[in-house]
Amino acid sequence: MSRILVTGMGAISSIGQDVEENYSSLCEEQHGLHGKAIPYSSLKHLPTGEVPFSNEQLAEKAGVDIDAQTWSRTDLLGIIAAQEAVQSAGLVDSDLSKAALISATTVGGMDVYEQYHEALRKKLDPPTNLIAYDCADSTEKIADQFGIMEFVTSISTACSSSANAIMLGARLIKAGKVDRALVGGTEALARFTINGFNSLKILDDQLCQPFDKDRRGLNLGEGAAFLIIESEEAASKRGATPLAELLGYSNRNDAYHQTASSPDGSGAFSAMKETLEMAGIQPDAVDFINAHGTGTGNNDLSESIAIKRLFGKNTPPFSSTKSFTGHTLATAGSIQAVFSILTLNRGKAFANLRFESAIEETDLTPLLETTDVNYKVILSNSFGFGGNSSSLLFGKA
Amino acid sequence: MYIHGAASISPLGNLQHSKNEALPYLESLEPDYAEIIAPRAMRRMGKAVKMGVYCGLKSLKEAGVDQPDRIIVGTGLGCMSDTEKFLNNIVDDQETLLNPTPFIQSTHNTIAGQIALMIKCESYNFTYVHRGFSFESALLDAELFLADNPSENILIGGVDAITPHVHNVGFKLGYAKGKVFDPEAFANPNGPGALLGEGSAFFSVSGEPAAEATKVKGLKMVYKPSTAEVLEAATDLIGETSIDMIVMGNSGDENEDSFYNTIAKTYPKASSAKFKSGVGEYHSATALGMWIGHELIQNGAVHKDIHIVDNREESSNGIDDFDANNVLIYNHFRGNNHGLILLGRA
Repeated sequence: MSRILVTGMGAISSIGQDVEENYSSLCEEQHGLHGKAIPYSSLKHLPTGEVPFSNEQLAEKAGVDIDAQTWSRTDLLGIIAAQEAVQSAGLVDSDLSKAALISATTVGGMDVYEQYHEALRKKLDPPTNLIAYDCADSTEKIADQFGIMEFVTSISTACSSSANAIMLGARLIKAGKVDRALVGGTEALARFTINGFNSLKILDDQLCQPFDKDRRGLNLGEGAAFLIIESEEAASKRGATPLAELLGYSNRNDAYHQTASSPDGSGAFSAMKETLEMAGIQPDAVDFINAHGTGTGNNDLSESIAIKRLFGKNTPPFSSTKSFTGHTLATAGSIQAVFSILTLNRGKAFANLRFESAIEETDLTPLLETTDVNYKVILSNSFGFGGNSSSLLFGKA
Repeated sequence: MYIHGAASISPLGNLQHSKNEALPYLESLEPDYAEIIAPRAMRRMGKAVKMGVYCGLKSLKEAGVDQPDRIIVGTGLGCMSDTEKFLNNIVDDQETLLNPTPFIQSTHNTIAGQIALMIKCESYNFTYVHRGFSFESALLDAELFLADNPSENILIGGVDAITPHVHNVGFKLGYAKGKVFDPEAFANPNGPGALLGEGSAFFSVSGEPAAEATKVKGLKMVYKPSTAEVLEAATDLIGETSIDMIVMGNSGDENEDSFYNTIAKTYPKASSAKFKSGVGEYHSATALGMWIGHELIQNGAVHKDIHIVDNREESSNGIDDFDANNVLIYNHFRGNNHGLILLGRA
């Protein structure tokens, strides 16, 4: 069965408009949680990881005509990250016509929809170009940018969505359906989402502190990240330089509660365990864990318990980069994938910012500073509502 | 892939309700959900969740599967009624002290998640949300798993629910019709705009055959194709198989008919069942098309609300006695997402 190689990547988040800027911020321990929610929301006291550009500026970066049709912020972020991924893989559009595109988002063009919602509610005429509100819109706009025709779909499994997009891409390649796939996710902040998480009382009104004993909740973020993954044959045929290998993956369900993780972290535990089994490696071969680590009381305890159950006393160093970017929901898995690959290639593991003291039950301390390392195998976790639990394992190419 | 259990909820048989209520779209004929879903669990569920969970659990029951190996759902818009409710609450309550329930329920993966929760299924759980590929993606995903391990039992389904708001947006944009009309009207071009509807269809499938089971012989998905590319996909899929019936996705929008007409002309001996005459258009409608094809193979009958073009040479039998061995399901969503599924006998 073919090895799955990552040959390109792109990312935009609150800490950088491309992979290099994200890398610099991670090295300099500069978080991006400077946003004050969104202009038409009254929840201004909540820090958010907002990408510091207007839609007009994003459209210019993406090279699209913002007046020609409706672009949701989700569309624009996605196109920018996808363009970088394609470019960094050294591909041109014609290389992609036979590729797959699998993109993830939780609320799609909600940023567009909610702004028109009040007008619709008042029975005013909605603008005739309001079509960008579903989850498939950003996917099709990205597909059409690159002329991707072979296979196009969208996934929404809450906060594990883009990890699952990467997984499906790998499975399509292994099954011989395609040689190459553009996989990842895109998510824009929306008043809908901010109010949703606020109503669940899991937002931190200060900067989040993942894995800390006194953590208060999560900060929301936005962004997009995409990978180009290829079969080993396709990559070597065109002389592509692999950035990493996708060694394993797993999708499990906690089946415990619609929004909360189980106290014993059973979904997280079995996702991580199955991932290592697929890769054929023992837990002690894992050098580092890019944790889901949202900063909520529930997730971080449950994930810590699952990590301890699997790794025991030999728990590898771990960190949550959500302390930099905020929780980017559907995009979290693909952003973490990019960060994991940076760690493998650049020899830097990134800090878990603002951690002060360990959770008593599990006594785990994450990586406190961005550190020089020489890691070969990194596990990345993404969990979400509906019990969705996914893990990915990346190895040095 | 073989279908071992199937269940659906749709507007079939419920046209008069839309007429009586002067609704501009078709609404499902809903069952007594309490047969399958505990009332306490049901209280929080929106219509899409109820329809999905009911059909999911019912098809597992029919297949005699307690624990599927995987749960894979396709839904274009997810739980829109809860999305709308939460959006309204944000405005009405000025972003303070909101009830989180509609937000929780609005998440697209609520349907797959709720089924997993109710039967404590800790395995693979996926939700596809891609317009006219929502159900096709779920079917393809199952096909990939069954190619590796035919003994797995996988629950797949497609579900979407209509709301006044969804219709309103569609109508204003010219995608939706302003009123319902009779199935016979599907015999002729109907002007622009689709007849909107809703529905849910779930299947418990496995790679292992059973006597009398419907076989899913193949699937093709084509994105933004030319007519020639659709024909190529159909030829690839069908080969020399003799098709008895094509379950067609004509939405009532005459601008979308040309692809269907081409396929119908290419297989002149096959009859057609324009299923959206009784179901309406929605993102994951192909799932219901597959349910109709499955029913046809199992029972030889098509619901009276479905417009039939009967091309049989010996048409002595009525449409309630249709001996179909091979059925093609062909559906496209606004010309962009084309799905073709070939069903036959085990």
